[in-house]
Amino acid sequence: MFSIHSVLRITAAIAVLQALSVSGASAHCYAGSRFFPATLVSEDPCVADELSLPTFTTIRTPGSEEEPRTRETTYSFDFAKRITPDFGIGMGRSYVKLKPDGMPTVRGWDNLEVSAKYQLYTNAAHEFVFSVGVDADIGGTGSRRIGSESFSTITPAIYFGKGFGDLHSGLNYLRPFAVTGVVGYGIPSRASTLGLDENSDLSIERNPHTLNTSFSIQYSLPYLQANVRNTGFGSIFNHLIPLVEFKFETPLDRGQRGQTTGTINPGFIWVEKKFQIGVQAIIPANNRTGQNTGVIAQLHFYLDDIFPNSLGKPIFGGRP
Amino acid sequence: MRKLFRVVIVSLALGVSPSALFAHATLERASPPVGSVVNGSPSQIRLWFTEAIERRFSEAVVIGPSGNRVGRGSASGNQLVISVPRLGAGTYRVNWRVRSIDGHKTEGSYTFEVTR
Repeated sequence: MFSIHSVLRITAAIAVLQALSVSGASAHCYAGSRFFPATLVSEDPCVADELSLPTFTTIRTPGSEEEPRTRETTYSFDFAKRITPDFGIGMGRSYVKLKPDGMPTVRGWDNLEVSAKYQLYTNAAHEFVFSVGVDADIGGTGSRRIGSESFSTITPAIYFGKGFGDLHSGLNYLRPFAVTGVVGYGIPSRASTLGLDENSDLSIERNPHTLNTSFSIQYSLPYLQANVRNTGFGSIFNHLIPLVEFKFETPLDRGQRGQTTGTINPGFIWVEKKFQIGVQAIIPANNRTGQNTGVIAQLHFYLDDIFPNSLGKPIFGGRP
Repeated sequence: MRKLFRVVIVSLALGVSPSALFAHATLERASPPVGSVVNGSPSQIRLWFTEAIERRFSEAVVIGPSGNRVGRGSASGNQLVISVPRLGAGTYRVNWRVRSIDGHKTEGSYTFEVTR
């Protein structure tokens, strides 16, 4: 797959990048002794240098009178880069494969997503992080074959993370718990879009504003091991963070008010020094969302630990 | 696009390989163990970290049952060692803060109990 020359060139480039740097780096998502992992379904509360490659999801969507049941599979990547220690930008894209029952498979790239986030407040003693940001789904950059939107959606959001390490020592075994969450307001660039229905008749689809909420409940075994009690479970368990994520989207207007859809995502994240692996179920939260269970899995790299002196540090203000 | 993908994969493979030594230093184990109950006073308290730590920017203190400091540690390699006087019965808190040799800072706190 790779020629020796190309591998040598790449290796040399990395060495140069690392040598060029001045020392200095900061943490990924830490608040005091609390580490918040990169959650799979919702955005984590911190600004960081990180790469998710790939995120894999598969789920079977229910059929209707007009459409057959469809196996939907996506392969995504997300890249986030700190510009300053507290401000970062990100981008991501998904390759989507749709396999309707009894019909040919349709493939294509979904719309480009870009984001910016500012980490406003971090309280180490109370293991608390608060950030603000905006996410944009750029309309028209994806394939129409897979149903990518022709309009953009801008979503300003707030992000938070809270660890419970500050609980009274009588509640020691609750201290490894943490919650993270995101609340966003989705603003479509067009109120409605024209399309063709299954009979090739012109149809109008209305695009509502949406309230997007997601949160996670985590129990950190690494935290338990380092801050509460040596469990003796062994190294495999000492890297494990069981969690449940919840994600909901609620239309707020344009004839769809209150028609919430969402998923519940139990699973685990296994945290290593420089990467993490997450596997979670995708369970529809109500009938409107669907009835079948899917899977999401992700390999996520901590670039600040892999390339602490080059790609993994802020462009400006290297050491916070 | 394919070339870029190759660069990313090879870079990450090199970055996460065992030969690349630097990452956040987290507490791997301690003696006496985190949250343990020990019979009699330990002569010293030792913390092992997952990475080598910077001596000048890494420290640990032990706080006794009455809130007074009873020991302070020094770093060497991937360890922090805290010499303590003979400890009476009670609960002791170890507060540590370290910086790994690539500059990442981490901190933590735990207790252990001494019985007679």
